Amino acid sequence: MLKFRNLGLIATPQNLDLRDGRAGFMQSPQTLQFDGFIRIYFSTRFLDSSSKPISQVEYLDFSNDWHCLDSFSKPLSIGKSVLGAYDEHGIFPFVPFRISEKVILGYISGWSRRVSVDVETAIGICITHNNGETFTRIGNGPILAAGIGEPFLVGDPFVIANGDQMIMYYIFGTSWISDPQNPTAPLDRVYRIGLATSTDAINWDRRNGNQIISFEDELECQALPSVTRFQDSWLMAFCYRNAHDFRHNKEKGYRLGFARSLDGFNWSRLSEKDCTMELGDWNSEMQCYPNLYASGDQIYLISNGNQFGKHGFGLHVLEGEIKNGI
Amino acid sequence: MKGYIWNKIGKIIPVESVARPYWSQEYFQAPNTILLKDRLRVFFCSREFASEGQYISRIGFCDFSRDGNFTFLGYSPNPLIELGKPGAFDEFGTYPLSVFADGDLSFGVYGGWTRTLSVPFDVSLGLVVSRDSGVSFQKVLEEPILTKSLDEPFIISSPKLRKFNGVWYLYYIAGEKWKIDNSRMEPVYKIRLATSTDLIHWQRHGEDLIESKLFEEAQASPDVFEFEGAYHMYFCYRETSNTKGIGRGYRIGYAKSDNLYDWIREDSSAGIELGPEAWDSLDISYPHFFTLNQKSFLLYLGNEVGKYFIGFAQLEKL
Repeated sequence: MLKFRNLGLIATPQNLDLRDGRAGFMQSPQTLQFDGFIRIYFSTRFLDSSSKPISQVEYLDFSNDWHCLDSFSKPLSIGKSVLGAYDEHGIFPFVPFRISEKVILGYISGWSRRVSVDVETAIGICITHNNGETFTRIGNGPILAAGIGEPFLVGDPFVIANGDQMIMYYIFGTSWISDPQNPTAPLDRVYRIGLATSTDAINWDRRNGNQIISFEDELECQALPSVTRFQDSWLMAFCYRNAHDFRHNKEKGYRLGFARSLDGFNWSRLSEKDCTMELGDWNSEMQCYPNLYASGDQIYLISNGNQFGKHGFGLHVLEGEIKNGI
Repeated sequence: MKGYIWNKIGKIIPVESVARPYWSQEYFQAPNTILLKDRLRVFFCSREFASEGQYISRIGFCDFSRDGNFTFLGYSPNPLIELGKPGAFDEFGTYPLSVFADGDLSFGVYGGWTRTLSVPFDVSLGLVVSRDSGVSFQKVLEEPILTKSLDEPFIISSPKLRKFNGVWYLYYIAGEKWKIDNSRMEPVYKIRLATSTDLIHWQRHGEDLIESKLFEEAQASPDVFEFEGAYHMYFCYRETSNTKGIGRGYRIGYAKSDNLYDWIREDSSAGIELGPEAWDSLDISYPHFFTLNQKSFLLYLGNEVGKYFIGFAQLEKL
């Protein structure tokens, strides 16, 4: 049995310079380890000229015991997206991946707006030449977009090394559907977790719509897979919700799910009994956008809570052991 | 095609004398042919009248006798390719289509249109197959076979599907940039190539095939064929600024190759120019080459990218 103990919020909108046009939100924290500190990239919201939110990436540095080292977050420069590109209406999430001591890549979950449905997403890539302080896009287009069995909404990349290859966990859309309770509302999306492999970080072999995390409810949407290796096991955290009425109905909103694997490819979803989370005030109503971080013999979980991360992100630490056969 | 000239014959579809089907109220675009035992089939794209100022392009065909008289035999009663579901790449139109008859099957690659908020549209390529020579098509996949990628960020369109020596060649265009010209959004796109052995997985060549001759030139309809021992490409190209101005619209260009990858542009050998008819005096575009009874023909669109007529011309050796 696994238990994540709540250690509380570690960053709040007090860490955002709200005088500078930010509309709050610190979403989808993504950790990157440096020598002596931990950097966390996240998406915050600005409003564009039509008052629609645009997610942009900022970062904060933390000590190894999770004290924030910055008063205000710094905007991450990734250059400007070109007109009509896959990421012109925001980046959410931004996911760093360290290939070596010197080489760090960034995976971009890019958003662009559509007419008949809200949005389309695709995954792009960028690289840093100054230890993660600024990134440059490799190409104006995405490395992963709609493909066989994955018709739209390819996003939420998370990359981990597996010997000579890399595995990317990501999500893809399966359908846009209307809510029977609210048939005139904009269509709702359904999305699931898949994976791809690569040896060069740019070209990915996909599995044509194969969904790697089991579910019981056809309306379940799964997002933000994050994976860490621990002893002989692989542990995944993700979030899931109902396709409809998820914003205001707590029963249908985001919660965290967990899965375990021995090889990174075949996953067993853990029941809520097998993996529990202690909740605090900050995530009592909703738990979402998880990121796993392993340090020494500890596994930490950084995630958002109520209202999709409007109030910052918090920390849990894993207690108990991952044993074969749980 | 040095030493050749195209003699214009006129409009191939007798638009004035035959009633049009409901799906083809405006435009005749992107003609592509297959030759059947008893007829010549010309696939083309057309539109119902605009709804709220926006069109949805559909694909159908019309048939002609293959005796050399080009007697008009009729239109397809309905469009041939279903539009995609909400959110799909081909929800808002299908344009253009290229068909390749391969034994009993006819494969089609088509441009699927979606509508985006910051720019007017985006296009990706889908794959369909027909078992009845194009009377009906089924989608092989609901998803695109070719869509935006690292260095081709949008507008993957204008397909021409070919098979040479057992390998599938897909000539197409890829968007390079969207520019804003007098508050009008104009895409710049270039001719590219991908190859495949199964029609589903494509290897992109990754380079512009045709050297641009205009500033920020847009290129389309890369119609590639083998003729008299060489590879030829007819295509069209235009300006991307002041696009409504006289002389700014599409013209027809030409290139040749001995390996299907490396092309030498030689527009002066195209052998086809604007006019003299009023309906093809402003722009000509979307060339398509075919042979019938040992004679060679070129279909092309007249003014306003085929808003009114498809023209055809016959090849003459000087």
